[in-house]
Amino acid sequence: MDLRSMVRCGILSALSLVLMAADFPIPFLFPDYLKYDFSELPALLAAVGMGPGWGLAVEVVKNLLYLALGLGNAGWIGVLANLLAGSTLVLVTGWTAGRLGLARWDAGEPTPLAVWWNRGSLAVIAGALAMAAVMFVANGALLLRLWGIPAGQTWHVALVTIVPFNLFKGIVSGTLGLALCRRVVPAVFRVLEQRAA
Amino acid sequence: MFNVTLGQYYPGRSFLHQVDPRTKLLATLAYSILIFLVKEPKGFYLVGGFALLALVASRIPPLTLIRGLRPILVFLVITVAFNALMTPGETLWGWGPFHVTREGLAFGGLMALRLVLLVLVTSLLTLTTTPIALTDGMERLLRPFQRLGLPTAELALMMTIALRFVPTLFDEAQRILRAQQARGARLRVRGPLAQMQALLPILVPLFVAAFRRADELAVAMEARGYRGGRGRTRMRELRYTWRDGVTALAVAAFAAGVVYLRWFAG
Repeated sequence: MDLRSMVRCGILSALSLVLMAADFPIPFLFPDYLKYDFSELPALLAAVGMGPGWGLAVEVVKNLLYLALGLGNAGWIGVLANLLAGSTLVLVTGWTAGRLGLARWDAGEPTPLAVWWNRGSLAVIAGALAMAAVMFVANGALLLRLWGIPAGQTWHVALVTIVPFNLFKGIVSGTLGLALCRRVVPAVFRVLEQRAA
Repeated sequence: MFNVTLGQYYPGRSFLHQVDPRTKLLATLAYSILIFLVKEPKGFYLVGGFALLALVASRIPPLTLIRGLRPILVFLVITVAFNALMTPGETLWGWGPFHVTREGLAFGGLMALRLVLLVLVTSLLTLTTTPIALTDGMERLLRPFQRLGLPTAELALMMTIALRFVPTLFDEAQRILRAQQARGARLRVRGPLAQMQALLPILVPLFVAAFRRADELAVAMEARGYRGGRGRTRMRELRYTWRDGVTALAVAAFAAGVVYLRWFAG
């Protein structure tokens, strides 16, 4: 692991925590406890710009700090859920974006917008679907039961609340994340590369 | 728009404040698992009693602790309502297809109590331990997993850097927000797509600034000869004391009680 990527990863995790505390006016589609936050964006940026492994690292650091700072209002269940959801989203979106050639920020010319729309939407949908599927299984099998929802009801509740929320969250985070990647990643990396040379 | 209160640490020199962070982390983990093994009302005296003991040992004002429960209020209401309506049994109150049963209410109450205790004990951990001590403790506890390929030293470095830069980036975010507002950026627009677009003028400079800081820090560390985790000495050493022994004994007794009630008590 090179030092610069590690430091970038650390600072992106800090940004995750800052964004987590920011409450932006998002239409109230879901009740308060399924709150939307932007803390997935830095991890997505790391996954697309530096590789899915770094995205995962940002997620792990973010959630460990979340626990250490006592920000999680539900203790380790919430952190576990967040880690599971975030890691799935970041890994799948980052990996898909990489396979589709969106992560090649060092190619010189920026990738045209149309390419980002076409391939990016694929990556976003893949990520959102994967996250919804993982959270459906996790909530149905374990997490909702820990919250005290009766065992026979968990799959039903998961299908009605968890799946739509995670699809929504995955699509919003993925879209914003890739939009950010397109603008930030090439600029940042090229300028800094030049300054270093 | 951005409000962050970093950490909940409540300064003090109580028994629990002086227990090693590793012990506290492990004890909290053990408690969080054991509490799910308790099924009967009898067991909740034990679980509640242990939480009370921890509270007394921490000398945290109970009100401070109770205030931390506000965010989970919704969960509590949902849990109680769900169980009250879904458990078959003696009907206390009915309206159309909905029946609140005595068994459901009792079970829902226990579930809610379990959630409350879980959150209280987790908050005790963060109230009596500074974030830095907790990250140190986490690093030490994760170290055995190094053999399995988990990069613990690197993880610890990233956590420390993140911890140090949260306030800095927070200020940065505030400044960018005000600067863009001064230039006429409109944040409260209608429509989800428009809202996402409105956020970009804030997020883009924020990320660029974050990367700039990261690379400056990396250069500074390299210039000072930083070479990773191997053979590094630490500024803060963690040491076990008698307090950790007492805590470990208390947790062990508690665990034995829970296991006895679950599997051996008639």
